[in-house]
Amino acid sequence: MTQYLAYSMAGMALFAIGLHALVIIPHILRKIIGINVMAGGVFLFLISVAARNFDEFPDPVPQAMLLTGVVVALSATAFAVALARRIYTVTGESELTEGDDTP
Amino acid sequence: MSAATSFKARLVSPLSLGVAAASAGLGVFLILALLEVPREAAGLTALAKAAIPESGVDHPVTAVLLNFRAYDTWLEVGVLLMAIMGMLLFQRRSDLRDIQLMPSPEPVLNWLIRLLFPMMVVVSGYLLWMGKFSAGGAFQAGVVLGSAGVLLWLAGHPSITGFSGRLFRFLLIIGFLSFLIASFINLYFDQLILDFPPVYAGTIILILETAATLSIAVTVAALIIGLQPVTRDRDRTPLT
Repeated sequence: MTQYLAYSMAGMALFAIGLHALVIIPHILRKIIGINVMAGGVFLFLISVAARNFDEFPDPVPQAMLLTGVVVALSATAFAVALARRIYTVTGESELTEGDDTP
Repeated sequence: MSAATSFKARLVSPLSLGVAAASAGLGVFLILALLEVPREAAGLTALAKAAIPESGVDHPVTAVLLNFRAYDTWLEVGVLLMAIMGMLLFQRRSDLRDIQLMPSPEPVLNWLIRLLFPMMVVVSGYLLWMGKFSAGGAFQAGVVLGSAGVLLWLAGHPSITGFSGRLFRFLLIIGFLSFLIASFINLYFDQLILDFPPVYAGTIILILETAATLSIAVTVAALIIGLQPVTRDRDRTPLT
């Protein structure tokens, strides 16, 4: 029962990749995609952890968390896009530039 | 192209290399931590399995979602409500009534929608019902129904933008509201919040799931449709 490790490790790698993208890329939309890649990593981890104790069915608790998590991630992404859109209409910028805190 | 080159130049700056190293380091650290986790730990499978007969449903995931951890689900429906409220705030509107695309002249699209839309509604209802004994339930059903709404809207039909403001807002809160009402009924009978008596659990869960499905469907569709900038009747954007 160690095949869950492969999936969990892939999830961790996705999380790190998403975090890197979130920090390094200035474009807001790509940052949102980066957050979604991080979320994908967490989801992969949760669902593989559910397979760890398999007794007739996999552990239902991580599965339930994942299920609600996907829908919440979707709505949070839509909200983030709405924010990005608002930032664009107000400032005309779609990138977060360094050292430019004055409006 | 200056933006692209400066971005490339920044990619190899010491700071970016530091960030890359830190991210990679975090990844390696997480994987190492993962190796320390017991591989056959007794999770909650046995507990869930023992409690399923009292839950009112036969499927373990639905039992966890709507009974054992119904509080989590309640608050997650609340998160959806917060997201759509925030979005409507940014758009400075309280309903989606004036967001409308031009009816599509494509005969294939119209035929496809006439074919797909009823099927999506039926699949959504079946997914909702299936939650009792198999993989399915409010979230899956809600997302299918919501995407049916978005599909209808993309073809230029009113979909959820045809709802009056009052109906729209009622459908947004009905999921959260039903959990709230269930909690109050629990409190009235001196029970713990969202602790359903096994006799009625199945019925209560079905009612909660139906309400949550409607809420999730309208919320998801509104989150996608609401991203469209405001258009007035005279300059409706044609679908390209």
